[in-house]
Amino acid sequence: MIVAIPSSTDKKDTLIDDRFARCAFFCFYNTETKDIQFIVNNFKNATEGVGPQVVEFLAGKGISAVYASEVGPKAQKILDKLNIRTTITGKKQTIQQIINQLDN
Amino acid sequence: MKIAITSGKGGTGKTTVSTGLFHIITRYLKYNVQLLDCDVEEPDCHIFIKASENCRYPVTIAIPEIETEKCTFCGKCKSVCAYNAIIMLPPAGYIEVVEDMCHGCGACLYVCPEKAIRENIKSVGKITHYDYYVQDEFIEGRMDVGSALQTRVIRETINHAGEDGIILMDSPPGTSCPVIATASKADYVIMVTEPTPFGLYDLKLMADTVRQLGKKHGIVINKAGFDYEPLYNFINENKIPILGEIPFKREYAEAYSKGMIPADSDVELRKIFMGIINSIINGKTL
Ligand code: SF4
Ligand code: SF4
Repeated sequence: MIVAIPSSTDKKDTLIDDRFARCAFFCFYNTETKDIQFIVNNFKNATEGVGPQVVEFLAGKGISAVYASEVGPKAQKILDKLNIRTTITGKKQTIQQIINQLDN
Repeated sequence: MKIAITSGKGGTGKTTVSTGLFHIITRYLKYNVQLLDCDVEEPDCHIFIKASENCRYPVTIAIPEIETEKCTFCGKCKSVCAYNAIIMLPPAGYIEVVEDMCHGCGACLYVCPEKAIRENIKSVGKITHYDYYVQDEFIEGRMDVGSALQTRVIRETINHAGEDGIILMDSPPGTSCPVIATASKADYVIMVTEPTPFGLYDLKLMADTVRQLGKKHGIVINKAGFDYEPLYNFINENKIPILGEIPFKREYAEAYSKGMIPADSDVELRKIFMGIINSIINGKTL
């Protein structure tokens, strides 16, 4: 499965971005192939309804799980409807740490 | 002439100024006047303006609902929606209108070739007309709890105003969309502030917004008497007219706390309010 993690930069050793829908980058981690990809979040500065648009974008990319420290209610509702599993992680974790957790 | 009464945040005396002006004009001056409470999230003019209810109108919005069985996922509705309110994922067989983002414009309904969209009418607020000294003089907009369409209720409230005379609009506090929805419909914007650092900070933001809207504007200083020089410096530098200064007096505070209008019994305050009105309409025919 592919997991999406909001990230503050496009490097593995940076902290997870606290703002799920308004994060700077998304890290896509493929748990089977171990493939890591960073994608710029183009919705970051949208004025309204960022949450739902980001979820639509992620779902379109074939994401089946989200790891984030916080998810807004609007985004959460659609994630649930699309059966995308959300895991709330602690803040102050690096992308690498989350990937390690996923690998275990 | 539409006059918006604004303030950077609640509690600076915006409602005091709106209701004071309204009361003084209707009781002592010859102009026709109407007061609109556009602070629809927490309308509070009614506390001071004890008027009798005349009639009530619902404010509704038509929210579209998509029947997934009939939908072919052609995407026409989504591409026409200016508010990005439609989320569509064909592989997941998912399409839905996000209610909070939908403005009820009806465009999606119009373009759907499959007639897969129908509308549900939903209440977002209500508008109440009250009789004060004159019929329909006071109009209050009130948004339903939990509704996200504040600006919609504000616009509708302003639509209920008459054509002539002075229309006073008690605006929501702040500088975001709801204030702009009110101030952009005004011919004149009164900014209420107090002589404190917070008052000045909020005033700067407000003055920027009003200038960007290109509206004539002036300032009312509430609880004046405390010498906070930076406020006066800012006003002078920016050449914003001071329409009036309401002094701080214990009698006023007591009257407000009882829901009374102190200008009614206090000649000095009455003169201040008359001065504010005169400065605004000076040279204008109503
Ligand atoms: S009614 Fe208008 S705003 Fe609402 S979903 Fe349809 S097109 Fe979008
Ligand atoms: S326009 Fe109608 S058929 Fe096309 S995607 Fe929208 S709801 Fe479905």
